[in-house]
Amino acid sequence: MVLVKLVKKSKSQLEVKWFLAIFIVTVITLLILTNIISTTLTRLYQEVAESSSENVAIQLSSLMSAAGSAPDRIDIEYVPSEGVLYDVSASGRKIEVLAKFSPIYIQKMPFESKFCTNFADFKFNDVNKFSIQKIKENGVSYYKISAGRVRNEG
Amino acid sequence: MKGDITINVIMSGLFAIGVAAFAVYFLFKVFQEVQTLNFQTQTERDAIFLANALISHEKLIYEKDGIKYRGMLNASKLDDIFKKSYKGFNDTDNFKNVFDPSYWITQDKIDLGYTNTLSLILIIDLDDCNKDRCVAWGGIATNLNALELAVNNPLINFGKCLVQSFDVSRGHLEKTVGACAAGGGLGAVIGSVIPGIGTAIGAAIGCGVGVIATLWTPEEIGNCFMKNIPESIKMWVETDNPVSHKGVPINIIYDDGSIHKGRLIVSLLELV
Repeated sequence: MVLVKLVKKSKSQLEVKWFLAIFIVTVITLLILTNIISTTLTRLYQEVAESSSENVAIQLSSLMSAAGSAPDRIDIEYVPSEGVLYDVSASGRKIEVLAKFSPIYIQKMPFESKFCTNFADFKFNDVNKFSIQKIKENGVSYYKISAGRVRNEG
Repeated sequence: MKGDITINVIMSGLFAIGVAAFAVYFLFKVFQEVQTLNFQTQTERDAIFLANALISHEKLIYEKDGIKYRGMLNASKLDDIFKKSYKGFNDTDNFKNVFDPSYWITQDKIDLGYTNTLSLILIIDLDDCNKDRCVAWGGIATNLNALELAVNNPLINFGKCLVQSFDVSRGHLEKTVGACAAGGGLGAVIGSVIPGIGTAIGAAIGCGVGVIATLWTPEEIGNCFMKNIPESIKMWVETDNPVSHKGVPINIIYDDGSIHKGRLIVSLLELV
């Protein structure tokens, strides 16, 4: 009878030790993971925000408007992201940008932005490099935009 | 015994709850921290870009020997495009015409401007502006797209918002029926007193007023109004300042060669 009680007590103490060991290891792991996950998530969000449809539409339309600030000619090159491709179209002085992120968990949402200069309507698919120009030919200034790819990782 | 609640089971349960609670807290904390609002004063930025493009535009700037002088506006060119006043912006008799659509600056005169936006452009000669005389030019440049204006009109969007926020719950319907009954009763009494209206018509009008009064709450109407009001007007209401009210510095050159300091001010009203 006494032997049984001793065995039970010893088993219970063993379980408590195991439990404490697992608890401490879990807490330490969680503390390490907290730092790693928050850093990784922040980087991911920053990258997505910088390359997002909204950001690129605003930047691109701003540069197209800024081209009007040059009296004669200007040449602006803009590469929003090397790893993301974009579908860009313009009509009626308004551009629409769609960032095509490869991870499926990032939602593809288009964004529109206005510009004030006289660019002709255009449409580009799967591009990530833009060249915005104001050119003067035969005494007449006009605006031109072309697009291409820096590196295809899309 | 199997199935007994031991201290270990309780501890394990508490531990699991703690881990779950921590995970939820951690998730919310991370999401809150990284959620950056990319809200910008779009209208202000657009106005600055347009002002900068205007002070480089060949139809406004001074040009000599094929060289265009950015920021130096030719007074003669300004006379051709804008309404001119010698009493500054207080000259309401002259400047009220600026808002008349027949005086709007069309794209063939200045090919700059945002779609469906009224761009109020004001130019002031600071070296020739005192309490007796103040030389200024003003005009509204437009680039309107009728189809988009019709489809995305703030009034239509306001109506859509009201329809979407219409409450079809039983409680709201009961409230509406109650308002109809109360309004109808009151209308019937008033109608019976006023000759020529009668109880029935009075009750119908009272019921209608009661129903309309309870269709939407003031909060719902206010929410729809604020959601659909153009951003520039919202900014004006919230900050009490029109956009780019200080403008960009310019020089104005007259035919006699004199150069005056001035300012070009652009205020935008984005209609959709």
